Amino acid sequence: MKKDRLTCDQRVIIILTFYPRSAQPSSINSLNKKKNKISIPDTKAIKEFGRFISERFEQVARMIEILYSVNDDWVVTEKKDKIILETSRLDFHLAVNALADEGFHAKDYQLYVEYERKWGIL
Amino acid sequence: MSIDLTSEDNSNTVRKSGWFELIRKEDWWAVWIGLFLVLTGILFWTTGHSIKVLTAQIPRWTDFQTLGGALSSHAGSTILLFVTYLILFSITAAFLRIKVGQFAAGFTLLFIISVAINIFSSWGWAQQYNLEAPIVALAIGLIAGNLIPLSGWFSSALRTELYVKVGIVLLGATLPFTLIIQAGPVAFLQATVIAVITFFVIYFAGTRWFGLDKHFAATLGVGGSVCGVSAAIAVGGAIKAKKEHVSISISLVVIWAVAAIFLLTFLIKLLGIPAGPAGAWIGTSEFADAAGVTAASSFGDHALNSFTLIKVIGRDIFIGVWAFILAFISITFWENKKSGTKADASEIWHRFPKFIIGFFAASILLTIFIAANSASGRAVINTDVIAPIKEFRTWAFTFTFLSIGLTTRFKELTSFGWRPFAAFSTGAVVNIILGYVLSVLVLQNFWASL
Repeated sequence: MKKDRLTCDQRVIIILTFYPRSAQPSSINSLNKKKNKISIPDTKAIKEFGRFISERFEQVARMIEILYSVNDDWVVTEKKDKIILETSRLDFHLAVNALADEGFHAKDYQLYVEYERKWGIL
Repeated sequence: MSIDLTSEDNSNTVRKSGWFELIRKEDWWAVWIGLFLVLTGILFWTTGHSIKVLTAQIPRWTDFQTLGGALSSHAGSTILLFVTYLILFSITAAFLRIKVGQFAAGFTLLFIISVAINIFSSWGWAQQYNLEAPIVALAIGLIAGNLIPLSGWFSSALRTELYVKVGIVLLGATLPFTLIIQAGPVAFLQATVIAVITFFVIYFAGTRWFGLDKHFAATLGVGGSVCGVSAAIAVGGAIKAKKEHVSISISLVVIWAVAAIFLLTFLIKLLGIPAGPAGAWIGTSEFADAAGVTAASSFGDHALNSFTLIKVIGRDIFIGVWAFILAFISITFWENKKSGTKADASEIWHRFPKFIIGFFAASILLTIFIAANSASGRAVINTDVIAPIKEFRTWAFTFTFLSIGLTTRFKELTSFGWRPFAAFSTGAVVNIILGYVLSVLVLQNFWASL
């Protein structure tokens, strides 16, 4: 048996949502709660939301740069509310540590790890 | 003023391909192949024919004249059996993105070796020394696979998981659904009690005695208690265990699974345990489906039935539940706070071994079909539908035994230190002893009368 022989492949999936609920300012509420009420537009809240969105998109862009700095082989899927990065070429610990070194933590992204048996494994 | 930001939280969508999985997953193809053969059997019977023409059983022989006669009289059905399986598996290979030409060539060689092994195990001399097909196929495969470099085209046909799953779906057709309902709860209880105890033994031995990381010990624990490699990779991903730890867990499962085939077979024969309890013991204490089928097949249909009830219904079904519970524990109690995911209940379905749906469907189908016929009709169904399905199953399992041996290359497994080996082995020994106590001492009458 060899130490460098691995019996499994690891797939890392990182999801960067544009509007993570955990990072949302408390003053921004869902329309679902008030959608039937007629109210005067709150321009202050709109501006605050604009700043939040701008900041969040900056964060997403920065996290993508960091992830590409540790691995340039990502499969990227863009959705209307998120960007999904997948790779089998990077151990997830390296990605997590690289993001943590730049101040990004659990609330900033979603991480999924999948293992698959290699060919021939019982 | 409020702004709607509710379009998030549809996470976890990448890995799930929805309906596409039905044609891209090996599990589902095992269901389609198994149910196709069962439905073909029923269709043939309703039109006054039998799929017996597609199956070949090599009878016991003691001299070459008898063998020659048997082979010539079964030549046509052997070719039809080969063509049927070749077409079904080649279609599967195409959808699983395996090169069909290479697969077909490899499968042809695998089939020829399987015929040779069945001829050998039907030999009176071999039967005299209990050289049954499963053990012979496994031993030949292990020797050849570890000593001779195999070509890629042949390797592409060594699909252990596919063959064993097809065999298990077909086994569902030979088990009345009423029996599954009757024995299922006992199988579930026995399997769960032992799986939970084994898991905690490996986990606590690993973390308390041998100083292993909690994630590593948990991955080892499910590998040794729930469902071998499938459980180790499911839980390894759910709790974000290190790649090397998952790899070592898999290596230990493979080594113990192969060793347990020989160990359990030897102990069962030594102790003269009847087939029913023997199958239950194997179902409780084997680490992988394919390895368990190999061991149980040496003791006949009764052993295979009790093995399947314990392993499939008692253990395999709950891989997703274990993954979800351990993910919750990991995130709530062990998490290092750097990774940002929540325990997801959809994990239970995502990890559910889908071929089990085929197992249940085949059982329900045949149970209804038999119930809808008269007593005389049932006897004919038994010989014209169920017996040929058993033959198809036997051949699928023979491909499994050979594939296990030919693909288990010990030098290609990850090396591991003595600590994980000691933790895993502690649990494995406890599991085997408890499996014996419950299957043979406590519930012997139940499993024997099944």
